[in-house]
Amino acid sequence: MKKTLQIFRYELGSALRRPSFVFFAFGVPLIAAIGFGVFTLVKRNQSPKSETEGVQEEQSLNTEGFVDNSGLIAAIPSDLPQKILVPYQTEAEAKTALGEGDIEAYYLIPEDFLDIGDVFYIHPEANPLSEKGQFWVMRWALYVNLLDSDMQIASDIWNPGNYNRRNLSLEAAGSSSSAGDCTTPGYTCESNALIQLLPIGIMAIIYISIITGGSYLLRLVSSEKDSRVMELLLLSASPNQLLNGKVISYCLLGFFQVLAWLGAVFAILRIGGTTLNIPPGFEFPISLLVWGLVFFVLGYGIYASMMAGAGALTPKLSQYTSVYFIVSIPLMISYVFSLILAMRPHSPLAVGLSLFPLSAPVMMITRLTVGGVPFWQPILAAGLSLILVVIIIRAVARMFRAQILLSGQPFSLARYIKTLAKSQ
Amino acid sequence: MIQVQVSHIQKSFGNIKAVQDVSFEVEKGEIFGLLGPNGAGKTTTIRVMLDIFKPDAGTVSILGGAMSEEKKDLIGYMPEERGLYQDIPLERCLVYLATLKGLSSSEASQRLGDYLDKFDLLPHKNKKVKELSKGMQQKAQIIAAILHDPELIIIDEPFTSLDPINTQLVKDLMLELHEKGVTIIMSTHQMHQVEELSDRILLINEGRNVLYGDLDSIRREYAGHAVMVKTEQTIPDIPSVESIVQHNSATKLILTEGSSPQEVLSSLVAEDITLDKFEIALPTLDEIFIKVVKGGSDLNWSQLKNGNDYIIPRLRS
Repeated sequence: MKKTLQIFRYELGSALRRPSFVFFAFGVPLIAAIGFGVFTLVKRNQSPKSETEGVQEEQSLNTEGFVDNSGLIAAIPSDLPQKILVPYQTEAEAKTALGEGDIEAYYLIPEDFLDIGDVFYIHPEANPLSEKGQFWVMRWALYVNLLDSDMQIASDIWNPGNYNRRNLSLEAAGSSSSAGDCTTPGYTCESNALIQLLPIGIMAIIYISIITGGSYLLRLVSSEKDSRVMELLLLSASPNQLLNGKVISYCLLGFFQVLAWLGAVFAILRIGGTTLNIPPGFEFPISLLVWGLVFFVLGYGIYASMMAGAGALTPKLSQYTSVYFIVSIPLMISYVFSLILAMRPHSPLAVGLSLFPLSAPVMMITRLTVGGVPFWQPILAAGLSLILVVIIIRAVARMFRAQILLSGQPFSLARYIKTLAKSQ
Repeated sequence: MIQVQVSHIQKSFGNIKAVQDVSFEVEKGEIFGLLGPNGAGKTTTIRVMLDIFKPDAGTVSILGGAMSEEKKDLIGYMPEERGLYQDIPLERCLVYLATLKGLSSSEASQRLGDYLDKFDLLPHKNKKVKELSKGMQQKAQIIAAILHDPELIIIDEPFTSLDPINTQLVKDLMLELHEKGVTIIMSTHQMHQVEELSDRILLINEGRNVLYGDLDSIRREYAGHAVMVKTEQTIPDIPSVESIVQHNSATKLILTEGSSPQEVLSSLVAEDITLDKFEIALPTLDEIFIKVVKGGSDLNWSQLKNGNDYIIPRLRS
């Protein structure tokens, strides 16, 4: 136990002395959270008006022009800010205004608009992030003018149903977005894509943490074997002590890494509110943080042990990359499936993969983030993963025999599987 | 008291028989030389002895029985080449390895300071191991093997990469440890170093014992038909001497078949030659090694050239 602790402390200290690890694990999320906090503060100072003062003003709309060759637009809807849409008689005039910076873009409504329904949007820069611009402004103007300036009917058509959305998974008090948030013209729900991307984001954090922790371990064992330090270590501690000390230290580091990353996500969502246009009442659920850590530890237990076992069979550090790739294939496949199935989180395939231990760490987290997962499923998945962790750690501990560790035979998948199976 | 007992061990890796039949014993406090050409099975023998590898057959007793976790702390081992973390500072590396041998960090640091000073490594303690020269790394490895005051030290090629000054430093250290009663097993192919330090040797070749025993006895056993004399006078023609070879400040007299050193001595005395030295010429371990490994018969005296062909056995107290 004493030597396990010494190995644990040494590995922990070594990792924390590595600037690249510290920066990636803790620096990046910290910088992201601080940077976002500063950005939010600056933005708040620039836009001191409250939400109640009008959605449109909140969103700092740009002045745009339009050339209406169809003669449809008789008036700009009264609820739009003044001079938000500037009419021009000809496209040449609009182009000149655009060139002089009077407007940010202009719309060209062709003569036969009522027949073909095309509207052209002319803007100077090709920024994919602002590609959608503020289309809704012209769209709303067209709605109102098509309906003879009857704003009530236009509003009903714009928002034909008063949908109330309630996301059980988020467990947030009042997490349902009020209908007005996403349905009122001018308050687009585009920023809520951040929340839609949350499952993928959290799954990516778990995936990256497992894969990086495992790869550190593989590299470490492989390098100790390559440099023959392993020979000295084996004459100082037992293979079990070596494996346990290394796995536990990197697991703890990974745990804190996940905590830091999820903490950053938590902080950003918490302080992001209006900046990210997050629906009022949305909260990052603590239970998700807890499950995230549980599945990280289990996923790490499975893959890091497998990586350590692979490291035991890797005679040269130069083979590290290919070995790492081979061992992480199941996790990579799970990751790809998680991306594909994130939009169908309760399909039979998604449920099956979220219960299967090799894919559970990323797939179950994806499903949990989306929500609606029966409570027994994460418990079952965690239980099955735990059983696999025990089996793999026991097998790898047996693989951590000197004869294997000091063998110079090249790594092969067949040999790896054979040795792993033999070690059961 | 026997510290290490290896009995008829065998070890194969696939179709390769690394060790076929090796047996030896090492007494407490002796410096034991484990010799052999490259690929003879020395390192595998050491690994089996240290329980790093399990033997296919045969038994090993170390420090009075089977290897245990507790015994690991009583053994110092220096593998051939490398064996240190390359990317961390020297001091941290050595302290960590010593703590794995049961020392506390503070104790390890304190002892390390003395050794680093002794080996002129103190100014380099904060350098990464990979930044040190080969010789410095070699010295660091030796320190790693002895820092925890082991009862038994096993060192594989201890003089590799060392300059003459550091070689002497290591030799003196080994003799110092020997005087303290530490048992040392030294595996090397540098025969002259073994001759200076070892009490007994085992020469293995192709995984088998070839020569084993007291160094002086072995050399006498392999002694050829020659005597070494030292005199200020010119050596006359003597019937029992086949040829005369100048050997540094001495002269080597190669005897004819059937004659004896006593006859040569009588002849020299009869010729009124004043002798400063007269002794049986013994072969060097190098010569014995080459002869045994190449499977030759008697040493071919006529092929010996001037130089350090033979040495006088060092007298031990």
